[in-house]
Amino acid sequence: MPTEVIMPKVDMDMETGTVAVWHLEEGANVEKGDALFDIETDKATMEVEAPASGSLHFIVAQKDDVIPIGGNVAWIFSKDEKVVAPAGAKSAPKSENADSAVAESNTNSVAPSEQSASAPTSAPQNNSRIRATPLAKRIARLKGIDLGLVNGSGPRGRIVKADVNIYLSSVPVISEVSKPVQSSSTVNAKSTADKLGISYSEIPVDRMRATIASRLTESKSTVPHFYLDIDCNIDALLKFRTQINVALEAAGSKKLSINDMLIRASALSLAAVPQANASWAGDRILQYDDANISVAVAIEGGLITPVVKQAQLKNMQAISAEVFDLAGRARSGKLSQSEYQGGSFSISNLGMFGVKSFNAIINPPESMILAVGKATRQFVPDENGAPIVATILSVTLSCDHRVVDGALGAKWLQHFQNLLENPILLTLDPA
Amino acid sequence: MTKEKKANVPFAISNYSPEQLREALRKMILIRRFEEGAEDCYTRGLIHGTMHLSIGQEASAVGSCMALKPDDQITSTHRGHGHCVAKGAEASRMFAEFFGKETGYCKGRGGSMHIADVEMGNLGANGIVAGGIPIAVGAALTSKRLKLGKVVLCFFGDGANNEGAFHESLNMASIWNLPVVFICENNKYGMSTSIERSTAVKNISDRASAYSMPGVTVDGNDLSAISEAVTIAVERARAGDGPSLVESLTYRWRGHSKSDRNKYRTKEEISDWMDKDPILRLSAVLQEHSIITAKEIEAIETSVDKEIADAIKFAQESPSPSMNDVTRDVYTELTS
Amino acid sequence: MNEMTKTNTAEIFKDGDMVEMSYAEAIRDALDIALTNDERVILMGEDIGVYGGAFQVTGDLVHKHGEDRVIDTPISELGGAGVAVGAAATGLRPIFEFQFSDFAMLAMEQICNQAAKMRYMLGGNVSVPVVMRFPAGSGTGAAAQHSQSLEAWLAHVPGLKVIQPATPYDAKGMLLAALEDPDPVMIFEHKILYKSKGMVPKGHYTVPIGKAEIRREGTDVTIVATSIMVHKSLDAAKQLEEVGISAEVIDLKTIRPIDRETVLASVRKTSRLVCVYEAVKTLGIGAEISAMVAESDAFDYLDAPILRLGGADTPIPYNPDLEKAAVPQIDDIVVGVTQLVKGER
Repeated sequence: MPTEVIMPKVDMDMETGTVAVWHLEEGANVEKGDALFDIETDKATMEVEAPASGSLHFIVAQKDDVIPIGGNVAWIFSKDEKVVAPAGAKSAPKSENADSAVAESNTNSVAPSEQSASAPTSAPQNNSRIRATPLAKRIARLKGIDLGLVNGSGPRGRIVKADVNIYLSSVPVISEVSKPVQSSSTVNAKSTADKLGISYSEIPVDRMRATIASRLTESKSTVPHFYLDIDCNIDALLKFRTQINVALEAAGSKKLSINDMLIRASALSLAAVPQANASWAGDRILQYDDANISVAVAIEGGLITPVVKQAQLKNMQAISAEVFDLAGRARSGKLSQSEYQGGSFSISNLGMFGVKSFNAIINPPESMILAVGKATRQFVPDENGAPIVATILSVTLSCDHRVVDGALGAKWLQHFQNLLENPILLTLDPA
Repeated sequence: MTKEKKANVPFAISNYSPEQLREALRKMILIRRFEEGAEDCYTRGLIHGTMHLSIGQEASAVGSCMALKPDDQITSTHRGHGHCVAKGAEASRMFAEFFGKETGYCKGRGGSMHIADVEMGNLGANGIVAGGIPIAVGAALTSKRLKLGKVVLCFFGDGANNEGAFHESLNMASIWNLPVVFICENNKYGMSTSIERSTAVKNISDRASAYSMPGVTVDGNDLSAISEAVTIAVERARAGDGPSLVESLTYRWRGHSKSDRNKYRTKEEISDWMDKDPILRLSAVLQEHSIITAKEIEAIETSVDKEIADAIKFAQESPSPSMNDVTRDVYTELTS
Repeated sequence: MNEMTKTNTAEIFKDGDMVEMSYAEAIRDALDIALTNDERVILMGEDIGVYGGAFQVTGDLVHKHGEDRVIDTPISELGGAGVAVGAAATGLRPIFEFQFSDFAMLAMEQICNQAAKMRYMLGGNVSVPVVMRFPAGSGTGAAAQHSQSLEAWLAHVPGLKVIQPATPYDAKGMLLAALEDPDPVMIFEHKILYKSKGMVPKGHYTVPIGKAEIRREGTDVTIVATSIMVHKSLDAAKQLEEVGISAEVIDLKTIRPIDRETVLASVRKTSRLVCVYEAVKTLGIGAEISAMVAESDAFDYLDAPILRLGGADTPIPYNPDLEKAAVPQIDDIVVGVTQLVKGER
């Protein structure tokens, strides 16, 4: 019995994958674990490994084909196996879009009963077909849910409305907008421009842009945001950093950035105010054990947020090294999905662009994001009211009011400010 | 009441006015030319479907309907063009129906096989052999029940005399004593099967005795003979004495329908019957009794030719039905 | 039989205006009113005169209205039906009774080729306001040729209207509505219902053709039932309630034209559809209802497969246990609906 190679689900909100490149050709010998092909998901490019050893045949998904998750891509035949078309291998999904690819794979799943006797009698499990009632599908469509993530309680795994509702109440992401590129504002922009004769050029939206549009539209329209500003005097922090970097430089080590210190301060603040390290989950709040800090990294065509996991347990040097590695790989598209998922808090820093302060959009399911502006030299009153020059860093904390109330957010910011203004505390372990 | 029959003077001559007789001849010529015109249009591809021509049977239709009052009703058959004209329909609206036009008698929904002029008392040709017989009995029941004084003339062919509906209907008409006259136009063939091969009795009129009603067989190509027999039957019905069966022996010159290849009958037989052309026979009788001249007949023919040409033109120029109306008249649209 | 609550009946009657009648008595009452009010009305059928009809529906009407208006026909279903069609086309209001609906097969020509099509074929120049009554259904031990439910046959023919009243109230009101209808109306009456009783208004009233009625409201499943199956479904719904399943029961009443909106709205509400009918399941009214839902926007509200509970693909057997086994029973409905709602189908 040949082994089916499918489009694997490698991303939580992935519905389809695009074959980026094949590493092997039709008929090639493969060993289990060999890299078969790369797929391009919303966020990254990933390698898919051979699920079995043998020879590769019936490659139905070619480069740039969009395949629904679980959809058939190719087959691997073991050495002593006769190479005959398995059920589902005949009609290659050549379609450009996912919908028709789903339709094709549905057709395929019916095919085995119509196969000739020479075909394998027990066709490999075809995972491309998701059984769901029309109502379950409708709700999933409206809520932007991937039914592949929902467990079906009905006969043969059929997903019914109740299953979708259970899923909805168990996950924090409630997406109301699955295709923001189709949103009315886009349509209006085009029709208005066309009507007024405004010239423009159209730039196609790639998956990353679509994902950014989708997630942030969803966030801004479903998460009740509020914003807290605070100014931090970072003269002490800068001095502290200089001292550390002198030592690091002497040892030939990589120097710390202010950002590395902000991540450390955020992690310790989250550890100190754990109620703020949480997610809204519909009918409950999930309070996380670890401070997993998402760091927004601008890359070509958009941004990505690799996560520094358990940041509260890592010192500034470890954080610095990790961020350096993650950011580098983010820019080359080599992050694995586990590296940019699972954050509990985000930092976005636009200070290097001269931005004084800004309000950031929360990255669901997280409940807070810290927007960091440019540190500026300002006159501030000293204890006697006389003006002195200080380096002031303005930060703005965006909070999900369902999880974080004003006082809680303020408490977190106070803690954060205290750490920056008394940087020696950054060297302590969390309480 | 029928006038007393004079020796050697045909019934029609003694019972109808010269105007009525000339009109009868004109209608027979109109039927002939109408069907020839329809056949021509069909051959040219202007009319689709099929049609069943009654060329050669004109006296049977006109002679029967002569016995009726305008309010009386008829039911007809798939070979019903002649009945329709004889009962007073206009050639133009009949052609419009054949052309499938909104101005046709059935608004283009019925065609040749369901031609009907309900206003003139024609309840419709019928695509089902014997389909119209129970309906005629029902119409007669209405007339009797509501005391309308109408007589219903029920045309059918020899093929229908072996349908159950024929027997059930004659029986009911008889037990309920209804004002209906059954006219069997026996043109010798039910499609291809001859009456000898299909029917146990020698004369279809013999069937009447089984239902206790008068039965008579007449020369259906003789206008006078058929009108005499039907007149007697209609008067009996109108007087409340019940139904009758009249068998009208006639012949269709053309095949059963447009797809008939005439394999079941000989050219000689067809030729013999063409010699008994009912139109020529009536023309001769009318001329013999100085009711019409050859010149006047020519004038009728010229005027009928023009009527047919105008009718075809009217049909061609009439509007086609809207495709949006395909389901109109399946049910009555209730206006509130 | 169940007590039925009326939810959307056109007229509301005070208690004093209502009287308890059997289904057969309600029909007879309607026939009596029609014969009294309208000279054009006649009854035709086999043994409907002094015998009173095979199921005693016409009863003693012949004595009140005379043999000219309550007409015993010979055993001539084709001819008799055709006479009724011809009489309807020319001004009478005949009500034709087939002794058993099975015998109507002899008259299919007149029903389907003539009555149904005459108006259309003649370009709308004729109406055929004939009413035909078809005693139908199994449960009498009369076996294969006297027990069929053939309503879907006729409902397949454009030009006919086909109704199946389930209660004495509707049997009378819909018959009187049929008489006012300008088109042919075929009334299928389940023979087992003839003796069922219910409150019926005195005098003339009509219940609209083409309008279904929600006999019982529910939230978990929509049961669309016809004729006697309305009662069986209501009994089943009571049992289902005890196990926490809330079934909505729709009495379809008219199978042509179908009341789409009542059915679709209910399916949108409950997300589950069960069709219950006595006629052979295959190619029946349940298929039509199912397809109607599947083709509509209500499809997107289905949270379970559609279930049809219809008669077995067999002639109705003689043996009483087999006869019961051949058509849906209350237990079948309870089991089927339970499995559907519990997600076992």
